[in-house]
This record gives sequence, structure tokens and C-alpha cells, in this order.
Amino acid sequence: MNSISEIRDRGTTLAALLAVALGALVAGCGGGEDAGPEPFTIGAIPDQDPERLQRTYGELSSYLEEQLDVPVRYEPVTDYAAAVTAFRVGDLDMVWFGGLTGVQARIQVEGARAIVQRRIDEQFHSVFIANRGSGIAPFDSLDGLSRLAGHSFTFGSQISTSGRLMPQYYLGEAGVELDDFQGDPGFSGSHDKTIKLVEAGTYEAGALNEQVWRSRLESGDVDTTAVQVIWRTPPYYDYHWVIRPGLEERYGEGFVGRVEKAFLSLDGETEREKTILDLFGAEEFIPTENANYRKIEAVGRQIGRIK
Amino acid sequence: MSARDGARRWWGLAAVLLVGWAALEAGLVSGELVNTGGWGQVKEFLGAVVHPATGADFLARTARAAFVTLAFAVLGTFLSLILGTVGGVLGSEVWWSTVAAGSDEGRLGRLRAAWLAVRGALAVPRSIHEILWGLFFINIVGLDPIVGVLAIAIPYGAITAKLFSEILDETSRDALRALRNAGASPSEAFMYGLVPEAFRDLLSYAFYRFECSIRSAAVLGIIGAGGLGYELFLSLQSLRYPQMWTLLAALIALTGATDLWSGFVRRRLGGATRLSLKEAGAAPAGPEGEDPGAAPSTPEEERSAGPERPSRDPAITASLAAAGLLLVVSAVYIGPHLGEIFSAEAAGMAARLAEQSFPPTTGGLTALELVDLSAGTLAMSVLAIALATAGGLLLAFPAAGNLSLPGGVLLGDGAGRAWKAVGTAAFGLSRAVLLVLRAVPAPVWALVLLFLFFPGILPGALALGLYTMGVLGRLMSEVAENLDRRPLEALRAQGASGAEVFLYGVLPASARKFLSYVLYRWEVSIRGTVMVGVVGAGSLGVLLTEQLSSFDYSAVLTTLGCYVVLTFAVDMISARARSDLR
Amino acid sequence: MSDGPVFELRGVGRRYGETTALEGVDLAVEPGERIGLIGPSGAGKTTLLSLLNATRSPTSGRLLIFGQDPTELAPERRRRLQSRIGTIHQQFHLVDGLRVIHNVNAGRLAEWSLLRSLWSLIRPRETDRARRILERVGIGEKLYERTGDLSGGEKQRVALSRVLAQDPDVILADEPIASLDRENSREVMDLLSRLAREEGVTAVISLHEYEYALSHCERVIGLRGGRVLFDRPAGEVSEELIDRLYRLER
Repeated sequence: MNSISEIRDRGTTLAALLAVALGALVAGCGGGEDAGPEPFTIGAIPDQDPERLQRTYGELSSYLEEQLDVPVRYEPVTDYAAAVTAFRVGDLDMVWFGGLTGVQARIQVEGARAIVQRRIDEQFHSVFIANRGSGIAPFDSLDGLSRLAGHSFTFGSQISTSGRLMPQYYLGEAGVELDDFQGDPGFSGSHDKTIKLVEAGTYEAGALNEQVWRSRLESGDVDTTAVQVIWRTPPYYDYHWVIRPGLEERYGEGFVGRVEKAFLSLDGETEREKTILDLFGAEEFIPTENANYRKIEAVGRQIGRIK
Repeated sequence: MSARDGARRWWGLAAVLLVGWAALEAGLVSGELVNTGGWGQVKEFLGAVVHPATGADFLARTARAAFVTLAFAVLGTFLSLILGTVGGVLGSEVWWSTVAAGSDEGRLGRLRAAWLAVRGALAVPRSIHEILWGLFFINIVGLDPIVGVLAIAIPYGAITAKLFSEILDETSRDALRALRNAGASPSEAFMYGLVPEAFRDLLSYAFYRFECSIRSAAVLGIIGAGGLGYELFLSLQSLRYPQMWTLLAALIALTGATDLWSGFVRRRLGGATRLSLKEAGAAPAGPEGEDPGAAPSTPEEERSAGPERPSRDPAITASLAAAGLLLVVSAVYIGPHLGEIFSAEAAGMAARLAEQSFPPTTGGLTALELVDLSAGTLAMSVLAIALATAGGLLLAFPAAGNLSLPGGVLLGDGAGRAWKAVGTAAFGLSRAVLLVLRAVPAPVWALVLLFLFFPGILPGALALGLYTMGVLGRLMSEVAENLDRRPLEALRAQGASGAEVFLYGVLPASARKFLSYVLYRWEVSIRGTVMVGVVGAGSLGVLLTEQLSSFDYSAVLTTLGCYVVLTFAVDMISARARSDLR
Repeated sequence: MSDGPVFELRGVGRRYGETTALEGVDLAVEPGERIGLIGPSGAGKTTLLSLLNATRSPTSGRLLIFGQDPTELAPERRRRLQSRIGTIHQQFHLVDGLRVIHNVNAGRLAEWSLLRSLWSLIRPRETDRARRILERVGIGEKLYERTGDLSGGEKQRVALSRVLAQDPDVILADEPIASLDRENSREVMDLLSRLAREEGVTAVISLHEYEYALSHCERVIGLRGGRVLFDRPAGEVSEELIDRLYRLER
């Protein structure tokens, strides 16, 4: 056994080490709060091109900083549900949500408002795709979805509007329940993965955001000899910016109006504006309101995505 | 035939039946499994290894992310060590019987219930995966870095507490008794007589947990905790293979460096990894006689002598100083707001979450469906551990330097140059394979496998199995490296071949510890099924992500309950198996 | 069995890095001899035995075993040579996780094919032979026990059985009784010398207790500092020689 003095020695060293580390851990609490006004924190669900979106947010924050004259910070999020949660607990003041996540967020935060969206989001579509080897032929009407019964099928992320909610809604309209697929339906996690998994034949069919599909077709990332579109859904409202209540108390009267204006005035005249519009795959932004998403909310409740 | 032989036979049969059942459940017998159509994707993914993303921006981002991952691991390990020490003391039988009970014998009986309650309570955090702890804390404190730290610290703290309490209970109480007799108070005697004796082992274990923390920190990227994992999943979502390879390379380098450091420190400390110390400490003690072999301090003999325990090892001091520095830098860099979890806001969020979670519901599922999904989860973990065991056994022995390298007992002194080259190559290759297997997060394995196999339990089990193989293989090769070398050389000396030395020496000598590690990783695999939930159709993982994404917390609670029950069951089975086969 | 010397050492030395364990050892061991090897700690007894069973090679000089230089043999021939030499150790060096039968059969490994060795682990081979050997050393009933559960004296008997199973021409013993109590020490030494005599086997036994070397061996070699201090019949070893052998260096 070691001598007592040695133990005590080692104990002292260790205690000192612990104290310093604990100090540093707790010191984190005070930091950052005395430096100017609290930043306006924004985020986005990782839906379309999450990799690009999350890694090039700098352009948008600096544009907004200039337009709003408040510090703007972008918080990266990789998970749909985490984005909703962060919005709920107030870590994100404004978030680029999908149709369903926006509704979920507004239900959880009273007074939150949908403010702007892209022109394309008023008339958004999903596409159903199928592996050519599956023998599922393209069709024109909703009823055709019944052909998917007995095949394997994958959605995108579990709370994606275009990759899950609306496809499941239309499947239901055509009388196809989740149990009717061969095996359990998959959740690939992203639109890109849905394309690749159907292309590979892991799943015979799938559904995703039409915008992503077109963009991948254009860039030649889809093997069209292996996969094809079998149906395009009717239009619905999708992506939009949702803002928390109470920000005018923090940044002054008319703040929300200025945020709206900052988006609406994006017209691609400068290089930066072009980059931002490009990043969101938008031609322009237009105003929107909570009422536009009643249908989404109803569908969400109907298929159990909203409790 | 002794009772042990009977028990061994029964457990062997049970294991075979269990794996057979799991294979049936996963459709290995019936059903179409392999998807040839996805080979192109896998080729594309593998092909990208030769042109990883090397832009200056991306490399800088990767370096920053690597540091964030390291910092989360450091802070998480540190906090888990604190929690583990406290929990370990409270969970130890010796604390209750000496300190809490004082000298009042009568109180001991009543306190036993309290002790058992602490033990039981410590088992719950262990059965819930880091990712789920992360999601829980996001709900309470939002997007603060403390989420990632706590997600690691809570389950690891509970695991550490369990081990530390075992260490305390197994440490000799002679010093404690002597101090008590000399008039020290119970708590003084405990602090001076017991804790220092056990502390070295705890420290050694902390370094092992640090290895694990790196892997956990990487996986926590899924829920946005930042670092390499976050970047990796971002690139994964958009299928940017070249970027993924850059990030994977960084992750492999980070894991490798951490494992080397931790392995070095643990060898110097001579302590345990996961197993209780009696077993680990039973490593070759030097001969007790006065004449410890006629040629002392020969390199071979030194290596086979018991772990030396110098009072002050400069390498340990330097490592501790480095760890301390890393800790401070990490805390400053990450800046977790430890205070946040104690704020009124957090309390309000927690209350709201509790309100939404109670009473638990099944979220529209029948009890039978829950049982079915639990069975699927169990099957997935069984297949994963079976695969990991088989692969780990194959890779662990060549990865043990004392066996495969020149001069190792499998080669012997007189091996030819060709055999030495083969041994060295096998050593390097198996080490590298094991490193890659455990450094690549299970969800990444899952996606790659999903291109090759049809969805179901199988790809999830394979992904989890490959990852576990990397961890288990490393643990096993450490066991093999700590084997007493002399019985093996004795076999060699009478002319047994390398393969026979392996069969009659290496294998039987390491079997029991291997079994312990296998059972331990099985427990870990149960909660690990969450990581591959997305591809694991037919298991609780999918259900859980579904419930979480619709914010149906009352149903989440039920699903978590299933995990807890499964973990408890596996825990009991493995404890029983260990004691029967001892 | 060949007629020449069993071991022939000419100027044999062995170094471990900077340390010299043996230096300039000249020695010849004839068939059937029973030799006691004595000397203080660090004298080089273990090293000498490890050269004799060809697990280590000399770093200088020349060593012949049954007239052959092991360093010049191909691995297969070398194993064949090693199979003629059985070694027992102070710490027994048995595999505790195996049952006794397998530890005894481990002596047969050099004879057996790999397949047979593997199969025997599943369904033990040559159990009658193993039982007979164990009965000779007095622990026949322990055949199926787990080796780790045995006492020290029993373990040394298993180690002895392993060597008997090997049916060697030479038995090397490295401090065979240093870990045993007085009672067991005497029994094991008696057993060892009786078996060596009955089998007509050459024996080289290193011993810390020189008294046993004088009582149980015909020839005694004193090693000190890696060199041979004396080498003579047991009857001619004087008190004074023993004193010189164990005297403390100042």
C-alpha cells in the first residue's frame, strides 16, 4: 500500500485539477451575455440539400444582419424534430420549416407565425418514383396508387411534408394503408437517399420532393434507366419561414415587418442575393400566413403525425 | 462430469437456440436478402475513397469538427467520472455497511433496501442510449452544447458507477479496518483506506471510457451535437461520398490516436477495462519464490511479470496533465452552460415534458405488437453480437502483438523470415480493420448495407455487428496480450505447432474473459439498436424515431420502457451465465 | 536413441540486450544422467534450461542437442527435436482453463496432427493412456477436473504427467518444487527421480534447495553469474563449494 502522505499528495493534485476544470465548466454560464443585444437566431430543417444549406448559411445571416441591423446567428440542425424542439424552447427565433414541421412548431409555440415562403411553395408537389424492374408503370390518376400495394416502399424523413406526409395522405386516399406494402415501409432519412435506394432496388418505390427530383435530374445524378416517375401529386402548401412571438419587444416595433421585407425584397440583383435565392432554390419569396396550412394540419392529425 | 460441465452444455445449447431463433426472426432462412441492384451505389461510395474532399475550406471545417468531437468526449468523460465516483460510492455495499450504518449493526438491515434501490436506479440510465439522452436534454435546455456533454455523461456515469462500486467492494478491507481500529471515523477510514486503493483502477477505467466517448460523441452528431458526427451525417444525407471519406478519415485518425493513448495509459496503470478487477488483476503475477527465474530482467520475463505499480510514473503524470489541459481547453472552447439544466426555464420544460409523457400510452399499438417489435430488437442484438463474436475472434488474435509479431508465441524463436513477414502483416492488417470497424459510426454502416440488403432486421444487425466487432475485437486482443506467456512457451517448448499452441493454450486461457466481454457488449448492443433504427424495420428503433418525430412523448415513454425491460433481461441472463460458467 | 551425448555445449553464451545471462559454458550431458543445477538468483539456470529445450538460441558458442544444432534445423525438424525434450516449471505453466485430460494430452501435440488435436478438444482422445499416467503420479481421479481448481501439488503432478505423456528422452525441470510446501516438495522430487530412473530418461533439474540436488541427483553443476563454477558428482560437492556458490557479492 502507498504511504498516506503520497496519497494525500496525489489527492491534492487531483483536487486542484478538478477545481480548475469545474470552474471552466461553470464559467461557461456567464459568457456571451454582456456582449451587445442578444442575436436573432435562425435555423432550417435539413431537408433540401441539407449539406449546402447548412454549410453556406453565412450569406443569409450577413444579409439579414445588414437589413435588420441586429446580430444574426445561424444554428445548424441535422434533425427535423430537433429543429422543432429548438424552436419550442426558444433557441431558434425563426426557422425554415416544411409544411408539417411548421404546423407542429406553431402548435407548440402559441403566437408563432408563418411569414414568407417561396413562390413554388404555394403549389408544391411530391413525386412517386419506382424502380423500372418492379414492373410498376406510370399512371395519371390518384387511383393508380393502389398498384403500389404489395410492393416495398420508402418515404423520406419521418416528418417531411413532401417525403412523407402528403404521399401517405394520397396513398390513403387511394385506399393504400401502410400495412399493404410488402414489409414495413422504410424511412430513408432524406430525399437523396430515397432516390438512391429506389434506384438500387432496395425499395421498389418511394416518394419525394419534386424540386429535389428535378434538380437531380438536371445535374445528371439520377440513373433514369433504373428509376422513373410514376405519378405527380396535386399541389399543396409547403416550406415557409416561421417566426416566434415576442421578438418586437426585443428588437423594437415593426421588427417582424422588416424581416418579411428583407425576404420579399430579395430579387437576385446582387451576387449575394443570387446566392441566397439559389441556396433555397427560389425565384422569389412571397408572403404567407398560418391559415394556408390548415389542410396540412388536418392531414397531419389524420395520419397521426400531430397528436 | 461436474456441475459446471452440465451448465456449460446448457448455456451452449441456449446460445445456439437463441442465435437460431434470431436468424429465423431476421428471415435468414426464408426470404430474399441480398440486393444486387445496389452494388453500383456501394462501388460509388467505396470508389470515392481515392478522391476525398480536400478543399482548404472543407479540411479546416473537418479539423474544427474533430476538435469539437474530442472536446465533447473529454467533457463527457470528465462529468461521467464525477457522477460515477459519487454513484459508485453510493452503490457500493461497503459504503453502506461502514459509513452509512456507522457502528450500528441494527441499521444495516434497513439500509440494505436503500442500497438495492440505488443499484436498481443506476441500471436505468445504462439501458437508454446516448442519442435518446441527447434528445431528452434538447427538449429541456434546447440547443446548448451541454446537451452533448450530458448525453455522454449520464449513461457513462451510471456504467462507471456500477464498475466503481464493484471495485470498491472487491478491494481489500484490511486498510479500512486498520484505520477504524486506530480510531478514524467511518468516512475518514473510507476516504483514506479504501478510495485511494481503488482509485488507480477507476482512473484506468476512465481512460477506457474516454475511448468509448469518442465514438459516442461521433454518433451524437445525428441529433446535431456538432463535431465530426454532425458533419458526417450532413454529408450522408446529401450522399456526398468524397466529403464522407474525408470526415471518416478524420474520425478514424481521432479514434486511433485516442485508443493508442488510452491503451498506453491503461497498460501503465495496469488496471481493468470493463471486467471486474479480480479477473484483470489475476494477470500473470510474478513467481512468489525468492528465485524468480535464473535470468532476471530479461525482456521476456519482464513483460510476463505482473503489472508493475511504481508510485510515480512520469508517463502517467504527463498524461494526467495533458488530460487536465485538454479538459480546460475543451470547456472553454465548447462553453457548455452547466447552469442551464438547473434554471427555472429548464425546470418548466421538464415539467411540461413530464406532463406530456404521463400517463404512458402505447401510441395506438397493441401489447402484442410491442412484444413483436421487442422480439425483433432482441433478435437484431443477438445477430449483431453473434457476428461480432465470430469476427472479433478471427481478428483479435492476429491483432495481439505478443502472439503474431516476430518473437510472439505463435511464431516462436525460430520462425523463418517469411513467417515473420506474414505475422507482421496479419498484425497490421487486423489492427487496421478493427480500427475502421469501430471508428465508422453504426448508422453509416447501416446505410451502406441498406444498398446491399433488403430492409429488415438483417442490415441493422449487420451494421451493429460490424461496429461491435471493432470494439469487441480490440477488447479481446487486449485480453490476449495480457495472457501469461509462460504456459504458451511451455507448450511451444515440447514441440507443439503454432496452431496447437493456439488451440491448447491461447484459446482456453482467454475464453472466460472473452465470454464476459461478449455478454457485456450484448447488453450494449441492445440499446445500440436505436442507432440503426432507421434501417432496422421490425425493431423498436423505427417505432421510437416515429414517435419522437410526432412528439408523442407518452408513447415514447412506453417504448423506452421496453428498452429498459430488454436491457434488464439481458443483464440478468448474462450475470447468470457468468456465474454459472465461472 | 542415439549413443552420443544428449547435450553438448561449447563456449555457449546468451545475452538479453545489455544483460549477459550466460557466458562461456562448456558442458556435456550423457544419456541417463540425473543432473542437479544449483546456484543463486540470477545465476542463469532458467536461461540454460531454455537453451536446452530450444525455446531460446545461444547468442554465442555452439549447442548440440542429440548431435544436432537446433538453430540450423527447419521448423518441422526442430519441433521433432523439441518433442524429445519435456520441461516442467516452478509455476507449472499449465493452461488453467482446460480440463486435466487436455493438459496431459498437450504433451502429445507434437505427435498429433492438427486435426486430431482439434478433435480431441471436443472429444478427448487417448483417455486411457492419460488416466494411467495420472495414476502413476497418484491423481488418477482428477482426469476431468478443471486444472485451475487443483492445488499446487496436484498441478505439479499434472505438469509431470504432461511430460510423461510426451514420452521424452530428456526431462528438464526448472525449480519444480519452489512453489510447493515441504511435504509436496519431497514427494514430487521422489516421484521425479523414480520416474526418471524407471523410464531411463536423462534429467536436468534446477533447484533452489541444493540439499535435494545432493540427495536426488548423481551429478551437480553450480552456476554463478552466468558461468559454471563447478561440475562434479554429488558426493564430491563440499560445504565450502556451496558457500562459495551462494556467497554474497560485495
